[in-house]
Amino acid sequence: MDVVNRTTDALAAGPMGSAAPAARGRLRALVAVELQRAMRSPGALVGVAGFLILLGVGHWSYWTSLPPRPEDDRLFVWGYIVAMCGMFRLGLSEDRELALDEYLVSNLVSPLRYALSKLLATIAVVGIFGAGAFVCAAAASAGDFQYAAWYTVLMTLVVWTLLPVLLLVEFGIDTRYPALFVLLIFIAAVVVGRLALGPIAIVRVMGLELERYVYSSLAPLGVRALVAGWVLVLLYPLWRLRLVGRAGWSWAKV
Amino acid sequence: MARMSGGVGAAVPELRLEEVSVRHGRRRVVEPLTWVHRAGRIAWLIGENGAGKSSLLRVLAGRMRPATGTVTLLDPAGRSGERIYYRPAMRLPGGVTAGAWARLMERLAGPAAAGAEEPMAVLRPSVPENRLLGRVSTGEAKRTLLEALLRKPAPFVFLDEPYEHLSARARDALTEVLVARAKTAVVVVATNQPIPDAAAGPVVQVDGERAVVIEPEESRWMS
Repeated sequence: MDVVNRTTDALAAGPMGSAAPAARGRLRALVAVELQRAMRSPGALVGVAGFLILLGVGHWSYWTSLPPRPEDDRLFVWGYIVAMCGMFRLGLSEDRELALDEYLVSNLVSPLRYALSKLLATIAVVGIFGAGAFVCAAAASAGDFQYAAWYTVLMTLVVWTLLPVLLLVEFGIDTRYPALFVLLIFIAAVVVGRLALGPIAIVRVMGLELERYVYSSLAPLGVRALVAGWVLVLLYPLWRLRLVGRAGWSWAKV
Repeated sequence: MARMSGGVGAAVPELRLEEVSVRHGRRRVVEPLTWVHRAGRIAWLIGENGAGKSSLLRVLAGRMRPATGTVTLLDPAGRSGERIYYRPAMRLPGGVTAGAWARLMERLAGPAAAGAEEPMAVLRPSVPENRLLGRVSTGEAKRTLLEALLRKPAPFVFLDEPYEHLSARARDALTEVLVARAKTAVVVVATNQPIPDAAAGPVVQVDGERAVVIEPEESRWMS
């Protein structure tokens, strides 16, 4: 009888009388799960496969051509774009579909911690893929580290500058592959910009006036990446407002 | 005159509705309802599909603004902002292993029940750590979601169709957990299923227009 009473009391108390879990571990645990979701998604697998195939084709073409060999990216850029189409995502729209945002934010985590975990996991995915792309490019080019590092840094910066666009796409569109929409928006912007401003001006606006292997020429793109970081911070209230309809604040008077 | 249900006198969490009406689009599904419910027993929202019980529950949980009136959550311990809200559309992320999810929930909601015979442990499904959550059954997924939420010591618990897809054993365990929790927390459950005998409490019957509060004594002879 005593046992039954103790069990009932413990249940009434809620979480088995335990202390609240440490706050700092929550973010780490959330990021770990987000990372696992991103890495195991079918899009990530297809993206990585696409990158490897394109990089292989590019290098096969490079190594089988007679000297002087072409000084181009050997399909690294296209491969990177294909990979990002599959794996560049915050997962907000997927969470909306699963009502997982509501489950987590209504009950277990603050909106800020939820947002941060999404962002950190996305940055980690881009970083991990960048490291892998560098290794693959260095191997395929028989140790041409200059080539591998240049294109990895370039594409990582481009992807980082597009993060606010990704966020806005995930606000508005319910899709598991938001990067495809980012790519479409990017292409549309380039086409419209070319018509409106001319080809040189649009390259300058995008910070892509680059000199191959000259890292100082990446400075305009770096500035845009920095600005993108701040834009993300400024978009946080909008992110939170988007959550309200699903899992946001209470209207109840407390 | 407000209908009052649940515990009397003791300093327990309290849910107070004053002239609350609920709209579903342009249609009003709940006419103004005034009701006070205190911790002590589970309160049930019942009604046909589309009658408005889920909408009313969303209003109570603070997930939706009422068309008129106010909802007040009062907790003597000052934790009025802490609440649990569950609805059947909530699903697990498919690409995560059960082990990784369990570790996350341990961080977010607290440790799981240790004793195998405890109702909370019975409610938790035994899924191998390395199994992807996309491959667990609907019932196991529901139990995983509910069990983690119920670890949280919130004074207000709002559950929409928690018995859906559960086995008989899991239903009994959930009822036991909720009955115990209702002693110290406001627990409101919206359901289409028969109310378990062990969990009799005030019933709010929603019929698409009106919401009528029926005390257990009244509901017994009505049924």
